Amino acid sequence: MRTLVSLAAASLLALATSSAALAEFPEKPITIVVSAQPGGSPDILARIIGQHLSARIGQPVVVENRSGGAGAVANQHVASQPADGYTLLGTSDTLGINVTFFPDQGDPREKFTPVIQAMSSPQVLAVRADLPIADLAQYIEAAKAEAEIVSVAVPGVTTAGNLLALVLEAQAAIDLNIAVYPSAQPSLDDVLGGHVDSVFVTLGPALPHIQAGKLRAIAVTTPERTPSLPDVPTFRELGLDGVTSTSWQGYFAPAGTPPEVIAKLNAEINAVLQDPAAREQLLSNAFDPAGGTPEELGKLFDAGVTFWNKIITDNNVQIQN
Amino acid sequence: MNLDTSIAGLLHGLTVAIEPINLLICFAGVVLGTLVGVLPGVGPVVTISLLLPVTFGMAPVTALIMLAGIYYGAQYGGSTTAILLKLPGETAAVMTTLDGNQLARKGRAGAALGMSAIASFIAGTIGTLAVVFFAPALSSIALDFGPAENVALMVLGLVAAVMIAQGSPLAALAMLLVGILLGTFGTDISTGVARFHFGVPELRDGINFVVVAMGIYGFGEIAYNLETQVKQEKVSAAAIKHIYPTRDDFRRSWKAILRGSFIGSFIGFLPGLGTAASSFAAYTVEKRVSKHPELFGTGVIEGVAAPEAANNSAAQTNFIPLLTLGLPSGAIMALMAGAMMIHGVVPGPAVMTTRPELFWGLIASMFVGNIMLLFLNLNLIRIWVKVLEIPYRVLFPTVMLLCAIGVYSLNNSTTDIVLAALFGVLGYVFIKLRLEPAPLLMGFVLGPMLEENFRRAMTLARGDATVFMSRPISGGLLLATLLVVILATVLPLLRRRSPSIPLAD
Repeated sequence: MRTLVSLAAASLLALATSSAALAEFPEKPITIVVSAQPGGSPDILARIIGQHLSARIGQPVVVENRSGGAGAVANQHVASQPADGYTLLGTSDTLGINVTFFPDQGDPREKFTPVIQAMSSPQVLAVRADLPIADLAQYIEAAKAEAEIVSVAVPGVTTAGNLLALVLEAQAAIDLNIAVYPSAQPSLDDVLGGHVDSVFVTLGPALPHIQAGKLRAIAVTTPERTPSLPDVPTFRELGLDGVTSTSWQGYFAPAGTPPEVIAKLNAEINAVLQDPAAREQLLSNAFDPAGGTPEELGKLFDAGVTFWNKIITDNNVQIQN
Repeated sequence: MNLDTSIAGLLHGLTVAIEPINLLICFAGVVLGTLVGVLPGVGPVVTISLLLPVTFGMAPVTALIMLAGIYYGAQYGGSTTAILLKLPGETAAVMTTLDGNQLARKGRAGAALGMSAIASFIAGTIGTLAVVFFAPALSSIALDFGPAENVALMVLGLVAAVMIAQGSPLAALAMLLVGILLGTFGTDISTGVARFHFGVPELRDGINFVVVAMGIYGFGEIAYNLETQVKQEKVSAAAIKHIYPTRDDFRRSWKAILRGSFIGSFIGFLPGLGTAASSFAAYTVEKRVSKHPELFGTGVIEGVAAPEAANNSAAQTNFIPLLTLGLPSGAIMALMAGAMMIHGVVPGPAVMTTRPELFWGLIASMFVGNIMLLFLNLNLIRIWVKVLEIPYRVLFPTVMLLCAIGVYSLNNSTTDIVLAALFGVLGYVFIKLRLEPAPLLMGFVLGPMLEENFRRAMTLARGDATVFMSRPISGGLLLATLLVVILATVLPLLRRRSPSIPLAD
């Protein structure tokens, strides 16, 4: 956190004093490393932002896919690169979840310094449109009728979808039949095919099916309603305050990256996130453009670590390694 | 959708596809696809992801035409190294190595390559026709395949894996089990527990198929060839004589091509199965219906035609779930979905009605692209067979290097190269022990899918195992498996299996 506190002051200072040095960054291509296969959500986000960032800074922005080890492969690679701002880590709220699940991977707060939050997204609970379940009350009622009768697909054990489904179970005193999938897409396939009753995933991949009327959104996890689904209530409105969490994706640099470089990257990516053409591309992919200061991302990350740690401990979710 | 709208749509699509810019881009796509298909390990996923930014400036339909061209072009190219060097560049080409490489060793590399191109063309066209006329109808069946149905399909696949193997069924079963065991490496989806990772972060996600295939086939085969170099030089001289398939080859293959095309078209549209399962299935079926199944694996032309037809028709029908339901059935289709969304087109049922020029333009370009690929690949045969004339002291290091680059490009990981080298040692041992690696690879691909779907099916049925029999599709598939097993145990009593393994000649 010390990095963060000194950063605000340092970046102001840097802006005032070292504009000559600033003009030189970046003088070679910037690489964004994502822990995702090509075509995955972090990959698409990084490619859209990279495309517009590249036009602004006059240097190519390369997206490098290093998936594996629940993000550990990408994390270790970026942490081992020079702290010069030319290698960024494209990551998400998963980074905070994994602090509890994978203590052996080291504390990301020591390895990385935040740059900017790029997007935010709700998690959504949605049911098959052919089920006679119109709202959360009916969903809970159906689940209470018989334990484990209502099935819910989640995109992985360590995902926000699974953990929030566990909170929903605890808060509503219900027992759901949770089916685990490797990612969002196959979980949606099986819900649309009528094999599973409901799904708890990031809004992005579910949105087209909700809009097409194949899925019925029950509630979203953000504190406020989401712009793409203004008619869908939040869990908070419905009295289940514990099921409140905003998923995000953002960029980090190796710890020790000069504050003026962080400030420059932050300013340029903020400008990309304000650019109308970029916003349109982001929104069409269900990425809600975020932005803000590096400190804000740092706080968001810290809050996430505490939030998820409590859920994981309370529900005794264990994965041995 | 009725016939008239399909034909009208297709004609409209053709006018889009033959615009000069689209023709040019389509050609660039299929040439690039053929090249990356030929390069071992460098697959369409890497290529499409690298080229995605290039398409940002194009019209959406043009961008999709190019990316799709790379994908199905790679299916044509993938057979080249499988036939010439026994090196399957992709999962789908494993079956092509079995007879294709034997043909090459008999001096008929040109015939195998030619048949592969022709089978690919016919199948690609049939697959595209399937997209045109059956897309909406087929896509509703695709979603009927849930966890229980997938389990039944995997069981059928694993049983088939033992049956297509050369030599002793016991050895094939052992190889299959080793494959399944290797498939358990990595994080267990259902519990999040990482298995057999030995503290290596890369192993937490399991081993990539290409690493195993490159190691066992590529590196292992090269190591073994170093022992038998003198013999190999003689074969290559003969390879140049018969460049194209003969009339007799066509007589033997046309039914195989048609069967392969239909099997491929069907399996291709099921989400999550990909092109590999289709070539596995087509080869198995072809061997079953053949009058001389004992010759399979020794270099029969229909053993090349069937799997090549299947993977190409599957490559076309793979687009059905994406274009009609918005469901990408694998990494490549996810990339296509990403490309569509970057261009502001949300994949799904609406594409056909809201963006007909895009939907039909893309499909029509597949016909055009397949014609280009046929001529391209028939002309390239003369060049490819020359590869066999390259002295091994040049060829082997080059192939090793290309394999290493291909393996590295999967995930930018040097660990994968080391793993491939370890599998190379294993592959060499298998050849010395005369063990056929195909069942291992099938176990490796199908095993994890079986486990994952089985756990999920049991969860959803709340522990009721009768779900596999009570659901009509899975029940039917399991019944088919049972029949296959009965046939397989009865037939050998009537006709003895050939005990020879044609790996080493």
